[in-house]
Amino acid sequence: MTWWSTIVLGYNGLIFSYFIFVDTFYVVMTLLAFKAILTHLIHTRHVTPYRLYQSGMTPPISILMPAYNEAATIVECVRSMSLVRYPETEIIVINDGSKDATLQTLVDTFGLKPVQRTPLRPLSHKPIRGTYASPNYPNLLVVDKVNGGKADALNVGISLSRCPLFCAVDADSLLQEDALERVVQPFLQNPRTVATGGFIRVVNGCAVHAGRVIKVGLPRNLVALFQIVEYLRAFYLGRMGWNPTGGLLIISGAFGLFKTQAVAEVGGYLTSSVGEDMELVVRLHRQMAERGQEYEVAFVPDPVCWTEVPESTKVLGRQRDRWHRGLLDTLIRHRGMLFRRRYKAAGMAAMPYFWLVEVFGPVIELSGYVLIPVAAWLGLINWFAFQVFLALSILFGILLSVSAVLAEELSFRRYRSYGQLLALFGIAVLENLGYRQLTGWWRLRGIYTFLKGGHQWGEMTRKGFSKAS
Amino acid sequence: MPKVLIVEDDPQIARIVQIKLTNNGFTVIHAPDGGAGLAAVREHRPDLVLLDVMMPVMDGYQVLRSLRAEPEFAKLPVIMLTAKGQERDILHGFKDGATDYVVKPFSPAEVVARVQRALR
Amino acid sequence: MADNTPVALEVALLAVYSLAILLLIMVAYTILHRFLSLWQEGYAARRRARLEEAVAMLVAEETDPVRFLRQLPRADYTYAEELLLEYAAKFGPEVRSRLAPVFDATGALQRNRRRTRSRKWWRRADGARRFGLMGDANVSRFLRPLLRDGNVEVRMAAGRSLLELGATDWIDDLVQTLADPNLLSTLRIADVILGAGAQAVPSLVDFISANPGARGVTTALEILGDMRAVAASPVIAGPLQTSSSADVRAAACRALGRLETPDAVELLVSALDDEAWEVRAQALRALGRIGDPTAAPAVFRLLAGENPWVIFNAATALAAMGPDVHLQLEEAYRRRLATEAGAPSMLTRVLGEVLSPYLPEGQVTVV
Repeated sequence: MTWWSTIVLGYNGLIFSYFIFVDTFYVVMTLLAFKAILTHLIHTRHVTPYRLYQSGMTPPISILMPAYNEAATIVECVRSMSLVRYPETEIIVINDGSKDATLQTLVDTFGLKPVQRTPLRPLSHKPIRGTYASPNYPNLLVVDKVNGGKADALNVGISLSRCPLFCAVDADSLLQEDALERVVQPFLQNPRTVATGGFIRVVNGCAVHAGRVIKVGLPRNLVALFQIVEYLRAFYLGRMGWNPTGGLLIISGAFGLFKTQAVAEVGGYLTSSVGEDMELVVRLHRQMAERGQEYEVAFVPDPVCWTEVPESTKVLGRQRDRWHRGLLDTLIRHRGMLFRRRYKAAGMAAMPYFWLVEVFGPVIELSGYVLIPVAAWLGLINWFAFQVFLALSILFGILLSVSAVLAEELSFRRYRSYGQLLALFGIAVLENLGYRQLTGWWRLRGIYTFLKGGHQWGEMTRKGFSKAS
Repeated sequence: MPKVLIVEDDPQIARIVQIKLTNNGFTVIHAPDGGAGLAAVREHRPDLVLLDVMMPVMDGYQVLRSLRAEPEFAKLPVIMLTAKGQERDILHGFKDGATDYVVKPFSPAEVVARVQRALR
Repeated sequence: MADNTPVALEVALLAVYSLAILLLIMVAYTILHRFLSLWQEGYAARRRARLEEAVAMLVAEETDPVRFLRQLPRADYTYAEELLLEYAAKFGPEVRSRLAPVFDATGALQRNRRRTRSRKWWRRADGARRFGLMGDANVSRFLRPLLRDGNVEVRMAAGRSLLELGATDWIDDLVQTLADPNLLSTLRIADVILGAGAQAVPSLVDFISANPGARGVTTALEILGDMRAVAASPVIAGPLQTSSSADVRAAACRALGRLETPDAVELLVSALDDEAWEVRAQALRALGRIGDPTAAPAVFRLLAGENPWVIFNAATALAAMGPDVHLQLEEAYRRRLATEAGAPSMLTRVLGEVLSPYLPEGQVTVV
């Protein structure tokens, strides 16, 4: 045996043990997730519908909606937010120096006039150019500011917010009517809750009318279709599984509810981070633990936020690249939490998981696609063993996606027809033959751009929501 | 015979109100949502509209505002069907030009009485 | 894969087969689950559709209960129960009392008794909810024990149902459960108590005066405020002056603000010196709600404070205290504008916002 064959063989062994370890971990998470889903179902099915909106004792919520070049969808989004049922909300749209007519569209549609508004929780941010409101829409405030990125825009929103809770949403997402009254519940059950997140679903392919999803459908576009299963998996298995452990590190930037005071105390969103949504949640975990305060970060599965996902591989690639850079950025900033018992599940389980599985996963997986055939070609392992390994890895990928589809079937069953169900299964199989590798590649590229020091945002082009026929 | 349009997405409520009103000598037309309700007003020109607040496609207030914006329907009597305990909704309804309101859960006889009074 | 001994390979192969079988089972189970649930829904819908017209006629008083029962096949009893409950929930008490004999005759009451004795809390809660819609006041004796149930959902459903049935002597029991540490539970119980209206006031007053430090006192105060229970205002003064919890004192301020009684102003002015800013802020809001200008001198003092929320609430309160105070406030604003060079202070900006939120066309504030 030569030295290089020892290296190749050793590396193959590493890949194999990594594979076993990660998959065992996934099985545990999936089981945890199923248990959590079933308990949750008992509540949603048997508890009489919540009538929180009548009591007048629920905490008011500021809905913060940063917008950058969203002229196509912004009005529909504001309308959709005003349809959300909750006793007291204020909608703050933050126009982050858009180059298109976002501000003008809002001013014209809602008859906005310039107003004075004093920041009562001053955070540092780029200058505000003006604030606008309308006597006809007393809950709406539009802020025009110098471009500074999403985190900076959210900080403006927090500064101007007058409510004890704020909900950060993307300007391209629609909230389900009962989303807020459900996502607020952890705050009522446990006053120490600092953040909660909800389920994000893909709106592509659904019929939208007047700011509401009126018919759930599947998109024709394959890239979007893959993402549907991917989102189901991420939310049912990922978030649901992490939730009971107390190590939930991600609340999607598209829909999360936070205690305004707690976020203002830790300094708001970090403008220098590309993954500001995850960074904030991790920082909350860290600071609360360091101050020795009891706290909770929770995920609630049924408040639904519908979001538009990219339909071209180019845009999707940029998005994933950015997500991965954001992940790396957060993990490196907070590397001090890794394996420290003080941070409980966040430091002992979630941080190691993100390093091992989310960051290095694609590196190991993609290198395996190259090195195992090389080893086989060199005659170090036989082709049959390679095929078995490949089959195992693909079958496991399918298993996770099928579990997510099963979880969906047992719980909310949004995709009503058999055709849609079969399509989801088809995607669960197909995504392992190409899509999975492609996302791995984008993540790898993300690591590369991160190391090179790139911090740009990928731009997303919007086509506007499809109208109901 | 006076014509009443009921715009209500719940078929059970619509059915009962329809039976009761028909027995009291009204012609009843039913529209299942706000959009259809608006179209039915223009097509059938009813003498009174019973309008539910929480409906898909277009809620009751939107329908009411659209009606009031058209001069020929500015005086059309509209009775809103609102959910219990929503004081704000009732005020909102009157501001937009509702004639009267009935709070759910209601008694069918009460609806008939209010329709009769509004048409007198 | 490092050692490709036959044993390791065999194990891996076995894993492949078992994974494949597991996958097939999961897919088959999902499809079967979908098939069965859709079939069940469809079946129930067909059975209900057949009953729908007859039930509508019964509810609209076109048929009487006796005729309805004669035409109802025994096999349809449970479907009829579901359908009648839906109608009962949508229409008022007259309809319910009309349906009560039908529930009795079709055995729905008996079935529901069994539900309320179930070991599963959600079945007990469901049973309690159904009893409330069945319109038979005699069932309140089955509901009363459920008010002491260990599960809040059951207690709440029982309370709401008793309310629907018009019974009131149970409110005391329910008020006691406001001490539950879960705010969500207390909010939902509060909802039921609010529905009971003025009859609940004595129980709430007793609850507050018996244990002013207890958990549920904040909620009890909120409810009294929501009900505008003017008679309760002397009791609210107690927790405001003696409670060690800032939350309770703030809740007392909110309640006084809603009651708008004359003695409330005096109490709220004394709360302006509270050590907790939350209490001061709530007292200011309450004073703004009442809008009595005699409180203005005390409120003006707080404009000089540090906490932005106190300043903001003080300015808002003053702006709501009538034309005279408004003039004084404008005067103060002009003086500050004249003396401040450069960027305006927080107080000046707050005053500007409160006095004229909408700026003239073309004038925009820059921060």
